[in-house]
Amino acid sequence: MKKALLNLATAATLSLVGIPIATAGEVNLYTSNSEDSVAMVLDKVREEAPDITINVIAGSSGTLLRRIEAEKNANVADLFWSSGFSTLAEFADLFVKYDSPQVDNLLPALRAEDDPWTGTNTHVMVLMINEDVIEGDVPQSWEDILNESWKGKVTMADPANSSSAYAQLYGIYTLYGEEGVRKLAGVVELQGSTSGAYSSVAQGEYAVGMTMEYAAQRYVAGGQEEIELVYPSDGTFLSPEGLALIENAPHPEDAKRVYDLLLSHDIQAGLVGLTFRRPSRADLDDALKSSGLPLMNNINIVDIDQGKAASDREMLLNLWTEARD
Amino acid sequence: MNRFLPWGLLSLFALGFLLLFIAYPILGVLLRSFIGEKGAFSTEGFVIFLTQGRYLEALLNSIILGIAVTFICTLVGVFLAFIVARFEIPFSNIVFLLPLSVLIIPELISAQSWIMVFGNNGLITHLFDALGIPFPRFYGWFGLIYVMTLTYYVHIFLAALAALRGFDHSLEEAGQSLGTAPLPTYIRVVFPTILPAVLSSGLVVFTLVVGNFAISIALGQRVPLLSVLTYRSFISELGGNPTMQSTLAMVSILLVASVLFLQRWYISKRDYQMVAGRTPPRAKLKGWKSLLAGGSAGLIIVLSLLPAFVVLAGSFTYARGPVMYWGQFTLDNYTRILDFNLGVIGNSLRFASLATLFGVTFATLVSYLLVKKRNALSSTLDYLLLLPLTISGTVLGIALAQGFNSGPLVLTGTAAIMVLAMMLRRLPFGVRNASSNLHNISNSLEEASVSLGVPPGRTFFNVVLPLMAPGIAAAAILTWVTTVAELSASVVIYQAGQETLPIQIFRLISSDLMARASAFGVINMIIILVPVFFGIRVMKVKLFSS
Repeated sequence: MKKALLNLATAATLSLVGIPIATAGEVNLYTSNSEDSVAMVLDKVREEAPDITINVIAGSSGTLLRRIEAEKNANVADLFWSSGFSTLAEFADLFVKYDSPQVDNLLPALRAEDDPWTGTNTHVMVLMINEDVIEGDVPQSWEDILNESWKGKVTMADPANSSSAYAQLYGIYTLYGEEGVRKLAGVVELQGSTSGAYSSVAQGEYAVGMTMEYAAQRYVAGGQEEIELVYPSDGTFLSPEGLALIENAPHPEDAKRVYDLLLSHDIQAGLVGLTFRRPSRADLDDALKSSGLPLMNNINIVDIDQGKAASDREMLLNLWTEARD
Repeated sequence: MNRFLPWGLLSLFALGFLLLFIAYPILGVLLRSFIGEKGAFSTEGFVIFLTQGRYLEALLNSIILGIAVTFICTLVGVFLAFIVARFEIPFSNIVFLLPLSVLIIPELISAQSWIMVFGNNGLITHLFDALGIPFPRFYGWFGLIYVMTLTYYVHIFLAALAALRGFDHSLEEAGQSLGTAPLPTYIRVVFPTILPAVLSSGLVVFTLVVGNFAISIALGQRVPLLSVLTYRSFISELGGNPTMQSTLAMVSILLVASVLFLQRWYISKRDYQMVAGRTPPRAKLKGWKSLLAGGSAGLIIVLSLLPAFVVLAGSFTYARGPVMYWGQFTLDNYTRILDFNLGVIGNSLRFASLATLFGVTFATLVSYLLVKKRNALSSTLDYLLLLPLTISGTVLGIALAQGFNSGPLVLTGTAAIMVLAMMLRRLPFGVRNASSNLHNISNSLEEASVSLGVPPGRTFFNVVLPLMAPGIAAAAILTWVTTVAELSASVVIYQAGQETLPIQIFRLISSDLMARASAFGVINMIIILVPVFFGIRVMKVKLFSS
């Protein structure tokens, strides 16, 4: 405890005077991942590449990407880890392509071979069910919840604010067209933020939430027994996330080594156990099983063109707004 | 020596500072709300506001919430003040803790703790579940009104208590000796005289509710509110629309400004002069009356202080991801902070100490200029100092971020803008605190010093400043307390690496990680509490004198 207090005091003093940045064998990692994920990566890097020191700048992906943009003329960042492909696309000119040898081990959908980033993990859209409040049969497909009998019992985040909710909306549009979107608009209740969709189902406010696999699985793994995940039988949608090397990075060579490590078997296996975010590697069946997640080939996936999803955004959101009025 | 120096020059400096960092950014918001996407004049923002249902709905919800909370706060605050002022209740010495509770329990933390009691995985929710009784939905109107009432009623309680204590008892006795029963006497004599104090604190509560960000976003998932929409328009994951941000900011400025105007107008029309009279005796209640009065006052007090204890318990509670295991204790939540998040604590200490230092220095200077060295610029300064009161933190954040992201002075993304935002929000109160005992310092003291040949600057430091010290100390403590708890402005402008404790708590609450958020909450409360305790106990600072 004494040492902890001392640490606290030192940190306070250091942050008051500003920490000088060393230069030998280091990588500046800008990351939106949770602290324990980052800590695990740091441990692993210390093991595999002891000559590299990683400086971590943590924050939400929006603030980090805007900071990288602002620092464009005097780059500090080497690596950005991680954000959704569609968000990365908006900032594509900040990144430079790196062909990691690890890419061959990834699921084809996550290789992003034409883009200046590489998939690290993917969100899978699921139906999160609270069995305590559900009445009747558990829905097994997207089509099930489009039925009017679910009105007021299903929730999702606002597609205008949340990129994952937009991915869900776009998936419904791909599967069931304009009519599906109209049906969904008539049934679903919206939450202001992404987290609202899963926390309100966990709370028991709604029986069904449209959300991301990892978010729902956290409750199951935490021991909240009434929570169940349904992978819709009519096919679900992926929302892949990736990491990228920053253009004109100050330490490109060391950064590439960390890039490879972030895609390595051990780190990806460790991360899925910690965060329940489905890894991009194709050879992690054991890690998935022990995290309680189904294997990729047991899930029915609908192919979504992420580029088209982005270009259709305005049209689809207008349709959505109109359908909800 | 020229009379204009040095005070005139300092006035000019203060004026320049306020014009640059308050007037210019707010004016910018006003102008940008009339500029469309293509850069030409346009009322498009307001047209969207009036025609797209959700904006008007949010405005209406905010007003309804403001009125409802103000009304309930008035009932609770006046009731409690009345009980405390008039009756001897068992634990009346705890009542002095109440105003402190508002200081040491930031809004965000009270929202957080009530979620841990009634919300997702909440204590009471689990208890009801175990008994098989469905617990009503906490998120939404019920939770908003409940938490905001418990957070804000203290403002009305303090005002009503001061007014009741200042009330001359002989007026009441006169009423009763003329044959009016006690209750009608209260209604016709006592309440009208405390009404101005209650109403003006009520309007303060209204503006706090309308501008509230922390509680609104934590509990208002289902209820669109103006402050949350304003924030979302700025922070949207997918890029915002500057016209809409400015329009929403403009609407909330107009709403609060009109309420402030109403308050000034109302107070100017009412003026009760209370001759310092006898304070009424505190009656001793017997039997069921004592139980009822003491019990209900006690309940209010317990509910007000409960959040601090819930957060404390939560911070030691074992959690797996978002699921909390109440009753199983752990230190993990704290060791995690020591391992990963010392920087967050460092940021909070650094930003808040800088904001307090600059804020209090500026407030001291300005209050001296305004009270003792009035000149042609003084009334303009007065008005500029009112401006931060009309804008919520979110709007201030947006105004600063938009105002200084290009042009000759670029501050967006720097630590300076964080410090600036925290400092500006508290400035009007700081000036009020610092000047509180300045009025009582006789000019002759200063004149004596100057006529004995001490230059005005040194006179200020050697004679005036020591006399102002108690007010300055109060200003410093209150500024510290509010800047350490500041969320709504900083959450709009912070950049990666600049997270403060409240921002971190806010992010953890959003991910439903309450146990970890609690550990940060406890640290936040400790950082707030230490100077408050030190000031009150060691330096004998009166925080609530005015």
